[in-house]
Amino acid sequence: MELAELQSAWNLVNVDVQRKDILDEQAVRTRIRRSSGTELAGIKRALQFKFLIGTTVAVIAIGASLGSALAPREFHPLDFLFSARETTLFYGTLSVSLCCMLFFNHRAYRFIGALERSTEDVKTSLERFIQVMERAMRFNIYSDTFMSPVFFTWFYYAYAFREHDLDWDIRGLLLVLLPVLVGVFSFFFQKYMQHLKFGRYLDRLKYYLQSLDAKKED
Amino acid sequence: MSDKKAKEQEFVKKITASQAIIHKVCRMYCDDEEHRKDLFQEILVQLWKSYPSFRGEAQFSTWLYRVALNVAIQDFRKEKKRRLLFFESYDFREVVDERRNELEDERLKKMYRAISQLDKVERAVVLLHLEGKGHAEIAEIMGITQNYVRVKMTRIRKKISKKIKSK
Repeated sequence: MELAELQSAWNLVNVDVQRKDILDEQAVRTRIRRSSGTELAGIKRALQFKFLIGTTVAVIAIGASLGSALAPREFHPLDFLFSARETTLFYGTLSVSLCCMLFFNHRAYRFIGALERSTEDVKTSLERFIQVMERAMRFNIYSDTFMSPVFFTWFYYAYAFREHDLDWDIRGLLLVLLPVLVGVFSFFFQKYMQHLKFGRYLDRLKYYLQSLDAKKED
Repeated sequence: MSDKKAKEQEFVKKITASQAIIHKVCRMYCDDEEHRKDLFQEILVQLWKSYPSFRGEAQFSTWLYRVALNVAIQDFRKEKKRRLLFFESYDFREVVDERRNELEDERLKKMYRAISQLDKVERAVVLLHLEGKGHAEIAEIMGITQNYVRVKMTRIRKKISKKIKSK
C-alpha cells in the first residue's frame, strides 16, 4: 500500500467519524469532568493518598512527641514498650522521617501537576514526561527509604532492650547497623519494584524519544 | 456567569467544533471501540487540564493535535491490560457499517494493516500527513526539523510498501 492509497482510505475514516463519532456539547461537558486513568494520574492519586495518611500520622506523631516531652507522667502512651524519654524520641524520629516522606511526595506531586498542564510539542513533552516519571519514581524510593529503617529500628529496640540496658555489645551494634541495612535494602527493593512497574514503559518512551532525535537515530 | 463557567463553555464549544481531530487520533492508535472511547476520554480530560496554558499563540488545531498525540503516545493502560506489552502491531477491527461497500471495507482493512506496522511516533507523522499538514506544521507539532520530517516520511513509505510486498 502506498501513501496515496492510504490517503484515499483515510478519507473513508473522515466520513465515518462525521457519521458516527460526533458528540454534542453536553456529552463533551460530561466527559471533561471524569477523572483521568493514565499512569501519571495513578501515581498522583497514590501520592495524594500517601499525603493524606502521612500528614495525619505526622500531626499525631508531633503532638505525641511534644506531649510526652512536656508531660511525661500524664502522657505516656507507649509505657508497655518504652520509657518516657524513649517515647519522646520514638515520636520525634517518626515525625522527622514522615516530614521527609511528605517533602519528597510533595515534590513529585508538583512535578506531575506542572507536566499535566503543559502543552509542548511531542518531542519536548516526551522528554519532560520521562524526566518527571524518573523523578517521581526517585522521590517515591527516597520517601520509603526514610520510613522503613525508623520503624524496623524502633521495633528492634523495643524487643531487644526490653530487659537489657543500652550498651556497646552485640545488641547495641545491631541497633546501629539495622537502620543502615534496612535503609539500603529498602532503597534497592523500592528501586526494583519501581523498575518492575514502570521500567519497560519508560524504556519504550525512551525509544520513541530517540526515534525523534535525528542525530541519535542515525 | 462565573469566569470558570465561561471558560468551560468556551472550551466545550471549541472542542465540540474540532472533535473530529480527536476521534481521528483515536482511530489511528486504537484497535477497538472500547480502547477508542477510553483514549477519547483521556484526551478530553487532558485538553481541559491544559486549556489554561493555551494562549492562542499557535492555532487551536495545532494545540489540539499536540495534546492529543502526546496522550496517545504516552497511553499505556490498554497495552498493559491485554498483556501485549510493547508490541506495536494490533489487529485493527473496524466497526462493521452496512452503508460501506466491500471495496471500501477492503481499503480500510488494508489501511489499518499498514498502520499496524508503524510505531506510535510514525503513526503520529502519518496522521498529520494524511490530515493534509505541511512539513512545517508537522515539524512544529512533533518538535523536529522539517528535514527530519522528510526523512521520517521516506522511511515510513519504505516500511509500508516493504511490509505489504512481503505479505
